[in-house]
Amino acid sequence: MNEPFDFLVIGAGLVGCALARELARYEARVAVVEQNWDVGDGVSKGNSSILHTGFDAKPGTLEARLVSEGHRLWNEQADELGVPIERVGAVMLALDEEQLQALARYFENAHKNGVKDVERLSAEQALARVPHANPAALGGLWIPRESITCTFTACIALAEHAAVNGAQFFLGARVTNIERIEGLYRVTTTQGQHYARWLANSAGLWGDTIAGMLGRNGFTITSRKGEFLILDKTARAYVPHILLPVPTRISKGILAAPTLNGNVLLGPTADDIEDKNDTSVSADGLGRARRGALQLMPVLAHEPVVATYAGLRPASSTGEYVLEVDAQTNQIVTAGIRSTGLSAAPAIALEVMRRLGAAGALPHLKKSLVPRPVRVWATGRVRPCFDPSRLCENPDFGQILCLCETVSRAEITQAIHAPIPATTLDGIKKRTWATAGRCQGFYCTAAIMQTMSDELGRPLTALTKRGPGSEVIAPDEPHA
Amino acid sequence: MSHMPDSAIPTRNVDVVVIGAGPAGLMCAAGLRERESADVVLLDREPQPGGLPAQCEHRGFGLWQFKRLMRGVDFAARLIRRAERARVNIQTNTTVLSVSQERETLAVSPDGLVRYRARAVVLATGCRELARSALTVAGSRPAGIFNTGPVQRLHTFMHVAPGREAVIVGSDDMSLMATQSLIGQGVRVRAVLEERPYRLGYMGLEWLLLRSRRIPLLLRHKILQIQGAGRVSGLRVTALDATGAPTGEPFEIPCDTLIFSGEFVPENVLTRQSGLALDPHTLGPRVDQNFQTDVRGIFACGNLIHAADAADHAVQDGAETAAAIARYLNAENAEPLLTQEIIAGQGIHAVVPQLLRRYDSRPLSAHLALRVDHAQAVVRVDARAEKQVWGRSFALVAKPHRSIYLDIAAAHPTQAPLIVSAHGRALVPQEFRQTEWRAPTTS
Repeated sequence: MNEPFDFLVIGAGLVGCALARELARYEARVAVVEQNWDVGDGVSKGNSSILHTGFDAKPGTLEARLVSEGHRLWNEQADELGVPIERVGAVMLALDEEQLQALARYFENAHKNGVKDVERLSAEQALARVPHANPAALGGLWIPRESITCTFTACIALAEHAAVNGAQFFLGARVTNIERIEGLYRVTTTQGQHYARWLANSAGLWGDTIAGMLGRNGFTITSRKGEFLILDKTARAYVPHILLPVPTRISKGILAAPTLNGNVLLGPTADDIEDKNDTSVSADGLGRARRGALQLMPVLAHEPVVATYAGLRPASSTGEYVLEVDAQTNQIVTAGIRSTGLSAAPAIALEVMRRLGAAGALPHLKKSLVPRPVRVWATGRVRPCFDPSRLCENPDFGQILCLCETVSRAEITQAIHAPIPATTLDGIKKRTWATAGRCQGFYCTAAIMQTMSDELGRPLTALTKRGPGSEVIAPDEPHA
Repeated sequence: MSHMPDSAIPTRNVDVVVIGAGPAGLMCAAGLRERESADVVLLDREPQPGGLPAQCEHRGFGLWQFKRLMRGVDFAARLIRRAERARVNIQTNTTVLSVSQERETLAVSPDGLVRYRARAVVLATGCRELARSALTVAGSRPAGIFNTGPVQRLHTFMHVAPGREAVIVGSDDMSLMATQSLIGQGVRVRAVLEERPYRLGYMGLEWLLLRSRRIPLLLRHKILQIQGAGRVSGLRVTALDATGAPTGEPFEIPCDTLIFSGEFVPENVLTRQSGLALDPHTLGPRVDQNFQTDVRGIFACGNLIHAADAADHAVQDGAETAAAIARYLNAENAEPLLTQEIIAGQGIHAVVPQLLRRYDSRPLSAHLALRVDHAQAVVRVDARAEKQVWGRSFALVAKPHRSIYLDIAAAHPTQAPLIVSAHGRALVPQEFRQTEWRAPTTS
């Protein structure tokens, strides 16, 4: 039998990685198992990259508290983790009388949630903040601390900080069975078995499946799809702040937001779907996302689309976050963590620590932590090729492979040799933005594949988009 | 973004910086050396010069310039030899990061950053194909979706095939050539799809490449959905009626590879960064008959200003740009006496150049490249200013995705706009026309 882990986290999304990072502060053996071949490759890769203040959350709920705390934690830890945050602020726009009245309620709601720096805006003030917003706007709300980050970087940073402090990551390992044997959990995955004293269920969309394996049937998880469009960088000048619609009873609505990488994001839609693997985009969904955002800012109609994607949010049947620490069974549950999960993740992890501490289940803190290795580049920052001293250090910084995003060979090789290595084309994209620009890999795909093949020591035919089964070029065997 | 001490970057003064060593850039740089012995530096980010033809192993190049049908690689090699003989300073592996309106070019290579100060800058950055996401095609997002460009690169430089069973979207010559090279690699081409009601390429090629191999060319068909989890597993396809709306029962084509081909846009990153005026129809910079943009001393030529035209035309552009820059270098501060707009009139979608600048009262002539706004046969084209005809031409067939050409000559200086019109027999019923010109959704 392998030596048991003290804590085994199922799911390497934002919450699972944040948990692993907090647990790695203690003298404990920590592992994370993940069915995908990269961290943050499920729910966590398909959100809007917005750090919420929680101004619009339902007051008094766990979600409201954790989003607010998470927002503070991210800002405190951003530098330590190497996670870039840009405090762009948000403008919520009212486009009719009914929405204008709703704004007053959101203003009060924000105060109830402790977000006391929100301001009411007249139509003129709203348009002064966002000159290209819909001129029909009747008024707005200014939420200055709503910020943008990069959800990829955020998750990878948490995972890498956990990894350099001893947490072990098992990727491509889907959990197929869980048994209780002599006070331990035996977790069988598609990549082998592990034993653990404590089990954390942070399995995102599959939270209910894992709960089922553990005999806990308190909730089910529905997959709520959100489709997004990314506009080219020319659109960024129109969108200085996050532009929010006034939410309806049905959904938070479709927003337009700047991205750290200099683009503009439109979306998301919100459609409950059956298939938890279905991240396809549809003409209908993209059309709704686009039309919704154009109501906020009609001028975006002329801006070119560079990418489309769909994210899935795990919506719990309880309608709220499910957060449990059960010292009877040694189980941790973090489920139903919806689109606010990016903001809340560090607070969710801390909350779990608090509850574990209360249950006397935490060992001693380590004397010191290993910092996350510094990345040469973080999303939104100036590229190293602009820095003459970098170029003296390593000529590969001057070898630009991806022109649209100005990604050098050095950034790509660093991503491949990072603590959580990029082993797939999507992994490279998430860490460096190579191929994510307006040409979507027209020029650079071949060169990046060659670099990956050289650095990973794998033949071209073994390279994948996001793990086995997604080989980029002619597979050895025909696909079924 | 002030992020570097300026003093740390070496500065070089040259006569002309040419950006992009494809057919237009190579020819322009060579022409400048041959004419003026100007101090010319030619920058390209690829490890080797030659541009897109250098990755094309198929024939179809050189007929117009060199009077023989050549493979792309040979066509590129010939242009490279000419530039080398003219002792053009070719810097490969060099990416241009910015071009200022004061003609300062910041470039980076493994040797470091260099700032070039030049009397003239030529943008010859070419064009690229629109990706699946820019075309907003619905469905899953698996591996196995390509443009023709990367497939050619994988084939020519890395000797690997993209998949086993492919469907190609687009009926351009380039798409048809792609089928040939795929078949050569042992790939089975299941079908070629075209949304338009007519083929873009030449009938001859279709017979040669598709019909002889029984590969169906499905006109008026489009993808409803891409299927597959890890790798593409198939497509859901529908036929379109005369208005472009789906009709009939959708059907499925199994395949593991999907190639979007032949919808080209200019590679205008630098153009936009440097704030040059763009033509909303070509998506490239606006130029005059001397290939000069709206900023003095910055020129643009080749497929950047008329995407997807044959490489031979880009070579021609390069040669003419070299001649124009030679004149410019001898009269750098000349102010135009008169500026005249060229306007797309009836039947025309885009015109290059977009304006004429007169520096003296001598007669003026220019070559215009035109795109029609709908496919036509037996097309009469003319250009008129103040009801006077400045030029006429005729085309048997004209389709929106490729240029037709018109030479103009003008004796009388005027500021009245020159209006270019095309009159022909429409190949497509009126109701389909709005879907015919697919306005690129990206650039």
